[in-house]
Amino acid sequence: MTMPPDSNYNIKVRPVKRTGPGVRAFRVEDLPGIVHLLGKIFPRSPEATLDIKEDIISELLLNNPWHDERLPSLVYESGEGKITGFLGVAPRPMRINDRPVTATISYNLMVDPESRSSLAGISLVKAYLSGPQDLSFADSATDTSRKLWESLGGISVPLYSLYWKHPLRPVGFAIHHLQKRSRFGLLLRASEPAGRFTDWMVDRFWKAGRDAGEFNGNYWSQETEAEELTALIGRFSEKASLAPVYTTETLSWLLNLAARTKRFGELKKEVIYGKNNKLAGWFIYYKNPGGVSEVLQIKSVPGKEKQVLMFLLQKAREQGAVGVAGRLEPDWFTVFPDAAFGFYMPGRVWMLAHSANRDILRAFKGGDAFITRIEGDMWLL
Amino acid sequence: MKTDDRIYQDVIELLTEDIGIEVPEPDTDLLENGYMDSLLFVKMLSLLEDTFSIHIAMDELDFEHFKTAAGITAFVEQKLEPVKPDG
Repeated sequence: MTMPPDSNYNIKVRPVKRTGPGVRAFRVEDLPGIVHLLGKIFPRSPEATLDIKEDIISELLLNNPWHDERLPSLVYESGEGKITGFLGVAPRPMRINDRPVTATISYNLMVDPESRSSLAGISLVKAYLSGPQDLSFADSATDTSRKLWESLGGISVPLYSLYWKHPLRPVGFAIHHLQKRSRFGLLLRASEPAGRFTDWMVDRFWKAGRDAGEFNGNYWSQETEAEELTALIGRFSEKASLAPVYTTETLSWLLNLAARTKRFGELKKEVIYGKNNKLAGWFIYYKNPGGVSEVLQIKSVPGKEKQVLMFLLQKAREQGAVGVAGRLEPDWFTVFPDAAFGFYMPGRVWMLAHSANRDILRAFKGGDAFITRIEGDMWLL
Repeated sequence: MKTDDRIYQDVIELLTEDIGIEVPEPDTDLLENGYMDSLLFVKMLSLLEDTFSIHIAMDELDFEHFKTAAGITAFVEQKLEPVKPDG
């Protein structure tokens, strides 16, 4: 017997003609209401940015290759039938050791600013965490989401909540960050030419040092596609207790979706080779001249971490980025301090997890999960 | 063990002083009337757990129990009741 989507949730299933507010599964006809909500929550976003968000959410909701009726996205409907809250839910097949795991990532928890005196937020999270999935997780979650999750038995995972940022052009990097946080945007823009000159000087010194070093011609990279990445991820995640399970088709869909987010730049996927054309590693990142290149995934063969990282930095520098940023995953802990990188937890952004399976939680807590920003939602925000 | 009245007074004190809600009547619907949003609700749960040394599991989190000060008192009272042995 096919069960209706709502029946899998430990929530009161309400009739379509409801008399009070409540959570229910997303339906295709809810999309305009969700888009409207998006505009209310991000009132200052340029229309183009909202269009892209709408496009991505639509794709996630309507064309997801992992779509599973038992794991729907959720909406909170007011007593008047208006959508005042939304929680995106996207299935992500994984495995714990050799066993398959039904995992879902939640994204874009939104509550109408005019309805925040309701319990929409906690109702949505409760309904989601009560679902039939083995693992619920959220990446880049706000402090508000963290509080909601923790009140409902979820955990925050500090090991997967650390981020690094490396300035490539210190003055440009500083201006870039100040512009995002400062009211003196025009003044800062006026200082950009002087900043570019200073960075050009720094760049000369940096380049001179690097050209004489180990990176001169020893490593090279090549653009790659989902087929090769699927094989690499499968191979490199073998030792992790918890890991995603991709096919070429599903990874290709995910990467194409990540590429639609133009706000971070152009998505690049490159494999790095060293001496004798031996594989050294790979990275997936956004090429972002004049901005910060965000790294979604960086992996290397054992012992080549530093070289892969330095190669990425050199590449981003050549492309004109003012800095590079990514999540500090546990297998890179020893590399970053060695390469003199600072790491920190910016803006209280959290990886959150909820599962009744102790092995899954142990993998998260012990840094034994192959979870990168590709599996996460950073590029959806 | 705290008596109902004592629990009610503690609940009112918690809602008034820690959450910042002036509760008009024991049966005033705090949720329907917009006294609490999700974060205040989470804060209230955490304070209830600390104040009364109880644990509120997700499957116990029926919002109906937490709509009024009287309902919250009844919920806490039930949580504090000693488990009766079978038979």
